[in-house]
Amino acid sequence: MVSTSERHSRPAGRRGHFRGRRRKPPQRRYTGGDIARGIVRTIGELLFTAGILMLFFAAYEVYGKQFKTDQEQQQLAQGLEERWSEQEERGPDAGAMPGQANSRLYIPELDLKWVVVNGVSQEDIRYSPGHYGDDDVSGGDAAAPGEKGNYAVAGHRTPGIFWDLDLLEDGDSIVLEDGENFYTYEVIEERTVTPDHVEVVDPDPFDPENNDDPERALLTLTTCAPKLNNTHRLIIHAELTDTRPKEDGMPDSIAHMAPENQAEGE
Amino acid sequence: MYALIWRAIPGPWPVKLLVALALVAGAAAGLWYYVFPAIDPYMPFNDGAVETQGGP
Repeated sequence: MVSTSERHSRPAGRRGHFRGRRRKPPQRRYTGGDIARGIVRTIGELLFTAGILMLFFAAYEVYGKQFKTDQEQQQLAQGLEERWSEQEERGPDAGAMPGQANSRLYIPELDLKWVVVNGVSQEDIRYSPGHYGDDDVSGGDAAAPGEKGNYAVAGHRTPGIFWDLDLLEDGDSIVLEDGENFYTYEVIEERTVTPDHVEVVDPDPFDPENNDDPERALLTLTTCAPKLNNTHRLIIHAELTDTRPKEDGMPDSIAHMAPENQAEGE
Repeated sequence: MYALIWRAIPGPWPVKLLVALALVAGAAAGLWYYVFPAIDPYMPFNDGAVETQGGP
């Protein structure tokens, strides 16, 4: 830190005689070398600073967002129960507002759960997975949880959301919870596509002819692939295998993720 | 640049060090809690949806 510029900095001020260390007279003139060194040093420091900033931002992307996501999820979870009880009174379509909580999604293999919001715009899915609503799928007919058709969910590839989604394997269960039931889906297919393959969120992503009258109840998760990149989409398809009314309690696969246990788990 | 800041901080060097560390911590906190969350949505690598709304 004791650099050359220290010597010819400013005229010995009040701290100059206090420290008693300034040997050079204040009138010292800058040479061409001093100026060149100063410029090079400043450039070096700017580059160094830019590097630190980028590393710091990378750290934020990995750790900071997870914290923010957890916070946001807790808020959403509080509103979710409320909304479910309201929906019973007003019918299923009431309250399908973008950005509002829609259902709860559990992936026991990854020990993760989220509140899923309505809508897939950047604003909606900043801190939680979002459900492709009627306006977001080509047929204009998005399925409700457990319904025949395709319940499609988009999420960022960030830690705390769909970061480890590639670790899912065929047969792994994904559980969806709405106001009445727990729906258990089993992963049947994983694939990576380019972002223009919008048919993956169609009512029947495997056979477009069935879109008007889908035979299977599917759950589809979409996220970025590869990690921290935007060129492709990782798609997970899962099929409904079990519907369990809420009075019967949580399915065994997610029993350890009950809200009471979750507090100490995270 | 950093030398300028160092010289602009008053006091003997332990005080300078403390103030410098406080400045660094303040800058880090400002970035972490305000700047990064603000610029994060504009980053290209966190779009998870297929292009259903005419664009990512």
